Amino acid sequence: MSVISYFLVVYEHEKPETRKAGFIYIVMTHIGTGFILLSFLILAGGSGGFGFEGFRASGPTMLPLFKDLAFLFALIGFGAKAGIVPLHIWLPYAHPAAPSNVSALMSGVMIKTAIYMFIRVFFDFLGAGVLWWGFLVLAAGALSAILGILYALVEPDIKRMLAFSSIENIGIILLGLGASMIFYANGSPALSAIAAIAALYHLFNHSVFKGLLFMGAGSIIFSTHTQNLEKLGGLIKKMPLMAILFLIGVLSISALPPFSGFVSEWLTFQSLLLSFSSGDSLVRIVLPASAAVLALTGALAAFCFLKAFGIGFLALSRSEHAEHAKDANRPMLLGMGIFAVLSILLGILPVYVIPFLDRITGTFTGTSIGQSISSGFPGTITMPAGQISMSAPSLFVFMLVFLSIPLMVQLMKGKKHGAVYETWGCGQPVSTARNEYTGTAFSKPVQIWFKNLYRPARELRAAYSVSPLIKQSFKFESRIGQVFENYLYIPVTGYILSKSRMIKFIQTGSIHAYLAYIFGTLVILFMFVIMGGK
Amino acid sequence: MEEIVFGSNIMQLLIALILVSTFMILGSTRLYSCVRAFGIQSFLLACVAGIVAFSTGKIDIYIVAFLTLAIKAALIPYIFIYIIREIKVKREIDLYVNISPSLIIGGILVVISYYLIRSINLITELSSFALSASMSLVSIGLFIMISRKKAIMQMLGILIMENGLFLGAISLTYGMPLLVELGIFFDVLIGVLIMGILIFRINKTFETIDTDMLKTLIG
Amino acid sequence: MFTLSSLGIVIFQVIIIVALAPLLSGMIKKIKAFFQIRKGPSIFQPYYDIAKLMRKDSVVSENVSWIFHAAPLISFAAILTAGLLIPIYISDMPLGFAGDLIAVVYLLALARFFTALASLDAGSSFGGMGGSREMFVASMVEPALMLSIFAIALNVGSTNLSFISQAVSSMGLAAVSPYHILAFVALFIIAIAETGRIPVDNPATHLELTMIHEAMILEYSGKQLAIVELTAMMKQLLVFSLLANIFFPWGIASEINAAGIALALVVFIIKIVILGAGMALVETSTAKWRLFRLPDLLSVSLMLSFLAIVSFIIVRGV
Repeated sequence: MSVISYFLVVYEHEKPETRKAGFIYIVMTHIGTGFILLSFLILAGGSGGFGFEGFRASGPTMLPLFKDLAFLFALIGFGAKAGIVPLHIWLPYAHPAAPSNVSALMSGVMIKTAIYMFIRVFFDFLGAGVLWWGFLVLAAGALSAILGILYALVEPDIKRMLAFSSIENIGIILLGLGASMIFYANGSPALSAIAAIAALYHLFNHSVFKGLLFMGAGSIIFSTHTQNLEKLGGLIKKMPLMAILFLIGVLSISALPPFSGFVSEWLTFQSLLLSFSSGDSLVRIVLPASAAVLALTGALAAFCFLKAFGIGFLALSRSEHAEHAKDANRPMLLGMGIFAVLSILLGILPVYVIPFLDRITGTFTGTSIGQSISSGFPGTITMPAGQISMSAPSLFVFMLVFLSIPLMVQLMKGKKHGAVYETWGCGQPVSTARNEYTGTAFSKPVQIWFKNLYRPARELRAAYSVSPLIKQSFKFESRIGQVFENYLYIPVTGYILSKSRMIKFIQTGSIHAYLAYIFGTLVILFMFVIMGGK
Repeated sequence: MEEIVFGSNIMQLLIALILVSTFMILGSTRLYSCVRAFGIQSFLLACVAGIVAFSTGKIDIYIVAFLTLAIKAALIPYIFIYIIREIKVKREIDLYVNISPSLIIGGILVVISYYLIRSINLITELSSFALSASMSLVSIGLFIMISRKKAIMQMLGILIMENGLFLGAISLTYGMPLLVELGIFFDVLIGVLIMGILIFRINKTFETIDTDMLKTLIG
Repeated sequence: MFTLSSLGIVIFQVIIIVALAPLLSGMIKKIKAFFQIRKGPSIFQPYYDIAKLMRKDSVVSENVSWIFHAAPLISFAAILTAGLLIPIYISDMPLGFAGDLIAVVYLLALARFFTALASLDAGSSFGGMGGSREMFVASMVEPALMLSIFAIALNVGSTNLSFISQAVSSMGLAAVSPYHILAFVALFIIAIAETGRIPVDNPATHLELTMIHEAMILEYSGKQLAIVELTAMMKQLLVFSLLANIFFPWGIASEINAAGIALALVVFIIKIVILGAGMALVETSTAKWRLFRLPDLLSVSLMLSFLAIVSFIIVRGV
């Protein structure tokens, strides 16, 4: 899987940054594969076989220590493939380098495969009986969600932004999964099933709206030849249909009702809220705290995608590229249209989706909950306690009704909008793209708020012409520090490299020496077999 | 008897408010509002003592309640404000740890205190709130001493710790013997006076009460 | 399931929200003027303002797209939909099944999203500044808000608003517990931020550089401005009624009869006036905070909610 997608990432291999992205990608996924192998080896050690049935049988009989190790290795291994923080660094490189359709595929399917394996390993093989596993998954989810969206927010490159946002969404899915594991370990499979449904619902939604957004980004890049948000602007007039489809994606990912993200985030919140029926006081403190993290993530996601749409599509074009953009062609629009319709349907008809997901979660939590939570009158989802319910179609209909009243009034009056004039700029003529608020400025408050995380670097350069009072040009540069690369990866790789250099002397370059090594190894292996005496 | 006192709604409310006043100190960047919040905290503590005195009818607890009101809620804040005014210190607190992280650390300390008290497991369920609160006050007081630069805040921190101990004592044993209690009050007052004088001296020597400057005193 | 009388309740609720919203706004202004020893405008001034704006033609920027025209209507619809879920004069909302407190939060977020989107549409720097700050404040508010919702739900065991107000009013005075008060104070701080009041935003400012909400709607005029203003007032009313009927639901009608509803309405108005007076007091006694000190304010709210949850667990000894 990793190798094939490596070739997809390096599809445009003539660019050096693409090759770098491919390299980082393959290294990270290989590290992941290494850990997965370790985990499977431990599982196989318990059962003596490499089949999934064997793993399943070995789960209950293993020693707790080995179980924990298998869990940790699987978390790291599949976590690297899913892109959870801090193993995420390949995602923001791989996505912008890969063609947009590949990004859509990778984000939609590949990351999800890792989540599938999480569920397989944790629930199916290992039995998910340990409380702290759930807490660890929850913590990984919270960290990925918040850091993913924080990096997405300050990212001017559309595709990198979407990649960071994938990290965020994986985090949200893991929050649901973690809650599910916690409930399962606490012996309440019904709650566990609800949380698992929330996680799977979000997973499903994410593949739809992220696919839509990646395709949208692809057609923007195709039409404007730039990935830089700061160079777009005004696309809503140049690509009107694309803009509507992209807006649907944006509204879904921002979890606004009545679009798809809302349903799954609502379900995730509710499953965190269900902690109140749990007897463990730590669960009752930690789950609300992670709900606060989820709320922050949700709000920042709305901020981030508001910026993407507002800066990219509204107001005036900020560059020549955007000026000459054309709407995407029919097949592109059709592809996006299907995803957009799916996104809306997932948002307003969750009752038809939940029983379907329930069949999946039923297999590993052992409880079927779908009938009881999604059988209410007009498409209502009902929680098991406290009369909590939410009816997405009703909300949709109410909004349409309230929307139609003023619209009707307007239609009856039949009057067009008032006079058209330039934008207000305190009396100055400011109707040029240079005076628009930039994306960087738009997300600046958050950058200042989390300056300890971002470690921003800025540079101001002014060139003077005649006197120091008259500036000829002014250059402003601002960069975001790559905290994980600078403080985690570079020290670790540096350490490994320096250690590797120490044993480099065995690499002599002589073929005889290498043969001697092989011979030596063989002899040691023989000795091992003899000493083992079996 | 104990359960009635510490389980009653009004008592819980007072204890919750004491916690809130502690968070007001944590969440404020102004010296005056910190001192004010400390005054409020001591006042609430006096109320707690008053209620305990009322329900047990012990005269010494009345005296303790009155002393808390007079010394901690009135006199000490007054001394503080006097010091702040006299040495014309900048009214903003300098921090090692910013406000938002401080608040979050405070919240975590409360949770830890709760688990600590729960693990001791020798008190009744109902007074565990008071004991957790007292433990939180002690730990948050210490945290304030660590994370704030101004010498005045170190004084405030130690007083918050003292308030926490007082709350713990009164909720466990209805206060220590009067003599001990009086001794503590006297101690605290003298302590504040001495530290006040010390702050004057520090200010005179270094022209600041930022304890960062004391780093220059190493050998 | 859905009878004529419940339809009546719903329509009456919508009318009340639209009709009372400007009154609340006017009353807060009046109370604020009282605290500042001014006379202040009449409490009906917001009605006059809206009526006047309705009669005016609008001037629209040449750069805008359909988003600019659609945004006020979408926000209006989202806020009114949220209004259907919040108990105002009767605790058993017939449409309460359609969404809970979390859905209300997200509907408010939808309204905010479109207002902020419209702020970018005209390409003015002020609009962008306003939109950016609004979303910044929203990102700080949201976690605090969610935690306070959890604190409330912990006490009652639900996020269904009808359920909460019924449960709290049936508890009587026993409901006034530390966690109740802590969650209330936390939500009050959030309400200040949500309604754009002084430590966070100054609703009376006319200096572009300090505005948040006003900067976002700078480009609107005439009828559109009337809708935007009305939406903001409605949102304020809803936030106040959340505060009033989650924490002090006493006096709310539990069944449909004329006397009960009339009494409930009077009680409701008294409650929101008291809350408005509290808000006016805060506005008068504090200065507007620097934007980057606001995280401190909202983390106080966050910690209060957290304390509410922790103290609930300690007191109940779980």
